[in-house]
Amino acid sequence: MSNTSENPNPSSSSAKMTLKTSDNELFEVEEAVAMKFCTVKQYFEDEKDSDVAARGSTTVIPLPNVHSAVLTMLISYGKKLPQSNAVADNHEEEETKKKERKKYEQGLLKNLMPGELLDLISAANYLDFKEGLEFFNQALADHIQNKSVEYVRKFFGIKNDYEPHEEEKYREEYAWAFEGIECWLIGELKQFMAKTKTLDIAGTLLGIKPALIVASFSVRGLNSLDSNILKPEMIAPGENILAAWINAIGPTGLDSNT
Amino acid sequence: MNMSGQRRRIERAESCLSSVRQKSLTNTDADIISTLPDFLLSHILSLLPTKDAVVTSTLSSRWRPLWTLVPLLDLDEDQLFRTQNQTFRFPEIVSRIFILRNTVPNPTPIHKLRIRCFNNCVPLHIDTWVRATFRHRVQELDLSICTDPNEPLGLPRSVYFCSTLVVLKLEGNFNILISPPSACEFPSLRILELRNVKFANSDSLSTLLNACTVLQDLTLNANFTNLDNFNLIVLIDTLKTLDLRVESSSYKVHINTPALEYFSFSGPLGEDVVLENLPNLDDTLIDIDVQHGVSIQDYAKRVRDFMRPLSNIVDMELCIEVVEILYNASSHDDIPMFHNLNSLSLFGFHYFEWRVVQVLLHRTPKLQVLVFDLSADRSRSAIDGCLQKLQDVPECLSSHLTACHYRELSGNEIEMELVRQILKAARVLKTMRISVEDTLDSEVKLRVCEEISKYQRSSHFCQIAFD
Repeated sequence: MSNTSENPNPSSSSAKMTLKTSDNELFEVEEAVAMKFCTVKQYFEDEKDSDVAARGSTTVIPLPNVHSAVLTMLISYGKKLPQSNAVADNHEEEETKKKERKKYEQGLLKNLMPGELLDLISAANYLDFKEGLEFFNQALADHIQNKSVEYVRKFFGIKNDYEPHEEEKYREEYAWAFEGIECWLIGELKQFMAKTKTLDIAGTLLGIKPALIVASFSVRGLNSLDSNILKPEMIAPGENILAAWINAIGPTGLDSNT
Repeated sequence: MNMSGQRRRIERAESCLSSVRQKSLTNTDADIISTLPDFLLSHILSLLPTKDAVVTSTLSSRWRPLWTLVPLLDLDEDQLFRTQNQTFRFPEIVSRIFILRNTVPNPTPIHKLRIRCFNNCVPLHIDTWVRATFRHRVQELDLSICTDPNEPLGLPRSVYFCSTLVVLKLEGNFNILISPPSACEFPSLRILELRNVKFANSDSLSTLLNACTVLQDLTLNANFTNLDNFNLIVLIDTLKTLDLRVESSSYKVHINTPALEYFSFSGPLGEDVVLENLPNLDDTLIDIDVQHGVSIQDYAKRVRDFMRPLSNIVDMELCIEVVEILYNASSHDDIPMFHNLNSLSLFGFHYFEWRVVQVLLHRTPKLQVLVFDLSADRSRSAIDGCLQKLQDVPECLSSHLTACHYRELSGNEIEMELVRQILKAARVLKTMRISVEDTLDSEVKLRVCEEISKYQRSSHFCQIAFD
């Protein structure tokens, strides 16, 4: 591609491409990253074959099936992938990079809702972004593995369209497949139950003088998960209370703390 | 694009994401996952063990046939047979899977078969399943099985003539019998891994290797004692990685692989080991065990001759015992020079003495990265030689070393002394990375970190990183 005076950013070392999403957002992406989206790569190469000289660096590639929020995530994942033309690292550098990537990936998946994950998979499939598709597919598979049918249905909003007697018959036929999971799940559940504690409501005490006042800076309102519970959910008397700390490292870093 | 523009875009994207989020939250009737195309869903199911894939068929009627579209079978006994008091046993479950899969009108041919079974594995069953699969154009076979040693499993002939096989991985307890017919052919095989298998006779392995014309990765963990004078000849032009692990030393090895990039050797070094024509070799891992019954001098010479063809490598992982063997040789000048060695990683189970490692470091003039991965018995008191000072500082330490990494530091005096000496000798060191052992008390961790930060550093721009 020939760029004479049209080049908007002469100091940038890598070429950039512009992608337009379904909600008409424009994204400027480095060529190296955009080329990982094979659909984009194909489009770019097709465009290159046809009239090149007139275009310069202002080609905008339309992605009518991809929303901007989804593209943002895919681009940031693409940037973290090892570049194909990078010099081979020795073991040390490879390990460090692997660790960093794993941390990044965990962070990415942590707050992902099922709907978002599915949007990412659809988009990665449309863009033919192999590494991204593989990664998000695996994340989805992880949500199915070792989970009960009820959990998977609820998590992904799958409608059960079997008649109850049909499902019963099916479960019986496939009892051999369910057996392991349910036995194991029951075991896991028992372990989990042993670790949780329940809070009992002791009751409300009346006639205490002077009445305690909730500090002005404490949060009020409804609990976001259950609107029957008012904030603050847990409260104890006193302000300016020093928190507890573990013995190993105290708040002041001195050998002893009073 | 200016900064505020970027920030605006990120904010807008985030608000878009939350609107998408809201949509999926409120619209629980939206069963988006079921709208994904079949091939995508079956690809996702292929990432699951087969049992979990089968269970998805009860999610809804859309999902019913999907598991049969998955072109692979991953049958792991651990997964399928988790608790002792299950009514269905592993072979029964696998049979049902095979049968149910074939009751569909056009069953998807199986491309990959993976079986892991360590308890009460009956060879006849495995044989049946492998035969059933090899009627199709299989690309990958991965068997990891333990059977009664008196009941070996012979691979069916169809495996040896499979023209589409790309990956073959076999792992057993010397129960898988490799008996390739002389006409055996593997025109597509790229990855071959044989671990603890039994060879029918001393030509079996050569027959097998000669049949692999495009092999790229070879892993061979073998115990050759069941055969006398075992002959391993590797003359594959396309081989890129070779991982050889032996347990006895009665064997002959001849390796001539011009495309080899990675070579790993583990075990006692036999007498007749020839390595030649390795112009592309970059990376090696050498873990040679001490050999009894051979004099120290002879063994040192053997190890030296073994390592000479490897002298152009860039990256080496070396067991500390090898360094000691080389040190025990009569003349240190015969140790090959590693002119291109950029990164050296020393691993092993005991601490070393500086004078031993020094000898090696004198032969690695351009070394830039040094890694220590020594897990040793820390309850033992310090061995005398381990705390001595660096005598004759090797040139690479003082003028080339830019990065050093000490793994699994537990804070004992030998390790601390080593770190201190390196920090003192390395004049161009940029990073010293210390990975403290996980099980260490946080108090001890803090003390160790503080102490190391106080050590004298010859390099003004040296950074110490702890993790």
